[in-house]
Amino acid sequence: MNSSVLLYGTLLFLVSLVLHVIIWRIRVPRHDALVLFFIFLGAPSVLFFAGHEIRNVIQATTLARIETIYALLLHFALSCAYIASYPAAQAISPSLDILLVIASSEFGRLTEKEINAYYPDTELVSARINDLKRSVLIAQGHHGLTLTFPGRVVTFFFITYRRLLGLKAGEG
Amino acid sequence: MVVLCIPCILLCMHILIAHLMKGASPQLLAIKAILLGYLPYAAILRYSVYISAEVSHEMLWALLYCFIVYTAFAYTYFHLFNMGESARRIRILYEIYLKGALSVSDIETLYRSSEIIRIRLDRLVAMKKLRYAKGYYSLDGKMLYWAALLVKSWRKILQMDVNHAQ
Repeated sequence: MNSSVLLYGTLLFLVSLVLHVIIWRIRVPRHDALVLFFIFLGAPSVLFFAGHEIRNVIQATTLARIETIYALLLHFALSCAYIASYPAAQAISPSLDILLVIASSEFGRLTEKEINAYYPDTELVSARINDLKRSVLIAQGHHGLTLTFPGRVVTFFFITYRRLLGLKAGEG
Repeated sequence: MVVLCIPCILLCMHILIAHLMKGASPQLLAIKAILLGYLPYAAILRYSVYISAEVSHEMLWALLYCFIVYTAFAYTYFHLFNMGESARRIRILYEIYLKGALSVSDIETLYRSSEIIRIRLDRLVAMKKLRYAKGYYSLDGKMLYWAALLVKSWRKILQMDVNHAQ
């Protein structure tokens, strides 16, 4: 394998990352997850598979066609890893936040009651209900919030996946 | 394209480990499955076109490439699993799925912040990221704490403004 595969794959990822930071610093998009998928996965795919002129540019590089696919795959692997980490930055991740709260306390230790005092009783749940509504995974029905079709697909996927692993539904 | 078999390796190893080692921390099991997954992956690579008897620069680049791609997909897989295990959104979806429909106040009653914190404290102690002694929780190791600091810094770079531990 040509070392340029690693170089171009990493470079493509870094370009997407810089673009993401610039857009987010201007204004965090309302549908941030969709925009994130587009920047990291959609746009590079479109550029690669649809643009004849872009292909010519690619051919002008030192990479053979198969190596270009390898570079794109490396970009996708790195992008998936970044997208998977993004929710921790997008909203409060209680697990990570607890560690910071304890570390910043005067004696480096806290009781459960003291930790609970940092979190208003409904904030952690209501923020995620709003996320689910914005992602069109739940919607307001006549009898309350119900699953939309994508919401049912996601729920079914996780139930089936966890059954394969011999696990019950997660505790959240 | 050996790297395309990575998701299958990860899933099969995880199913195997999860059924063999029931009762252990689910997150630790997932990490063990990912680490053990390097073995079949290395075996597949050994018999693939990438490794010949003669060591060359091309082969070393290919091995590095395969290592990075496996690690990146394994990291993504861990987060996917963790989402089913610990994500509030998935828990809310599951509660609505069970009941058919729920009001916001129903969900907030079923799933209170204190419960969310309780579950996470137990999980962090089970994963040896927190120590519990005499009614107090303190850090046990710094790795996840550094990850938390990294996420906090990244949030600042992205100018996203949610954080309790200022």
